[in-house]
Amino acid sequence: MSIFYPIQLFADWLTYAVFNITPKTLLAGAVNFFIFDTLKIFILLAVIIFLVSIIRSYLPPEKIRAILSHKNKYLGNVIASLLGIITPFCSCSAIPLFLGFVQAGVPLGTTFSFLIASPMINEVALVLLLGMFGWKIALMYIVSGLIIAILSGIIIGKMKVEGLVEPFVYQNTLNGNIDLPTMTGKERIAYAKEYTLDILKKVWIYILIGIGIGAWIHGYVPADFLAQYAGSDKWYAVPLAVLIGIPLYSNAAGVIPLVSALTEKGVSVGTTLAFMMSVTALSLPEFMILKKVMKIKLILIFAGIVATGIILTGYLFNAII
Amino acid sequence: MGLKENVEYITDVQKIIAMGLMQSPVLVINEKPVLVGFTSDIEKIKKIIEENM
Repeated sequence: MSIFYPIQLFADWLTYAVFNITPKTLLAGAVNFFIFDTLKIFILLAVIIFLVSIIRSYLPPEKIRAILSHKNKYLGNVIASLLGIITPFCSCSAIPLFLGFVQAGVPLGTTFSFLIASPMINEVALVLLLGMFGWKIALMYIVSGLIIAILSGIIIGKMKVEGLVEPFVYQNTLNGNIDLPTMTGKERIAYAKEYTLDILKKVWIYILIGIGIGAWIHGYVPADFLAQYAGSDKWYAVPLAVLIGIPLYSNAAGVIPLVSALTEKGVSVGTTLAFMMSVTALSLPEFMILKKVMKIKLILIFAGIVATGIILTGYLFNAII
Repeated sequence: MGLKENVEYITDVQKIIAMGLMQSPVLVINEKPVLVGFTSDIEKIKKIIEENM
């Protein structure tokens, strides 16, 4: 049926021939699911992270900043959100990016669009969404994520919150157009390879645990078991999902496979999307770090606007699907 | 390589940003960034240093 067919054959062979598990039992279902999903996800991850890293080697943050500082407001928000897709983001890079953008004259609203899109729409989340949920959900996630990043940035830009940024930020200004040393093709490949291994090393254990628990749920929890608690008719499901997602950022890679199993058991699509967006976009460690460069009030405004956008997205998809 | 130059290891984020950069690690020679965002192999680094001294 798909390009993953050879992996299914391999998973079948391993489950039934090597492990000698009787077909059509619950155990066989769970083991087969686990082997298939793990292989599929790791192959997809390796390929996609590598390709994105190659693209990224042509678009480092310094170049993105140069592009963004020449754009007008609304177009700037759109381009910042789009460029956020290919950039990696961990809470450790929030400060340098924020300072580097704002001090080089990129508008605050545009900077926020980038800060929102960058962690929310990243290649690891996309691979997992694609692999566990299929391209439709992955596409819904990307498009609504982009819209949230664009609109939140525009709203924050309109609110004139420059006074809520720590004064030292605006005391330094810098020239955003610097010449970067060019990389050779060989260096790009070496960079991409190193980066791919780095990410895989960081996330593999979470993914294995996520798929493992997911496989257990897949095999043992009755279908639609969760619909009575988290179906689309439960109004509290979406805000609750967003709240639970906030402290889970570092485990995003493991959360997605787990959630895909929960969806299968009756959690509605809108709630699932809202939960995953909350996991990636609202990160407690990032908020703590941002305190160095902005007042708590601005962090709350930023988190509040993004959370509202995510909750609305959740309700929207619960209503239409 | 027999060089007698002042080498400074900078971890202050604001100083790196003031140079116009937003990634680490960075190798800067005479205020010019020559290696940004990744580490190259030792031979390449030697060559870069020779070219920029």
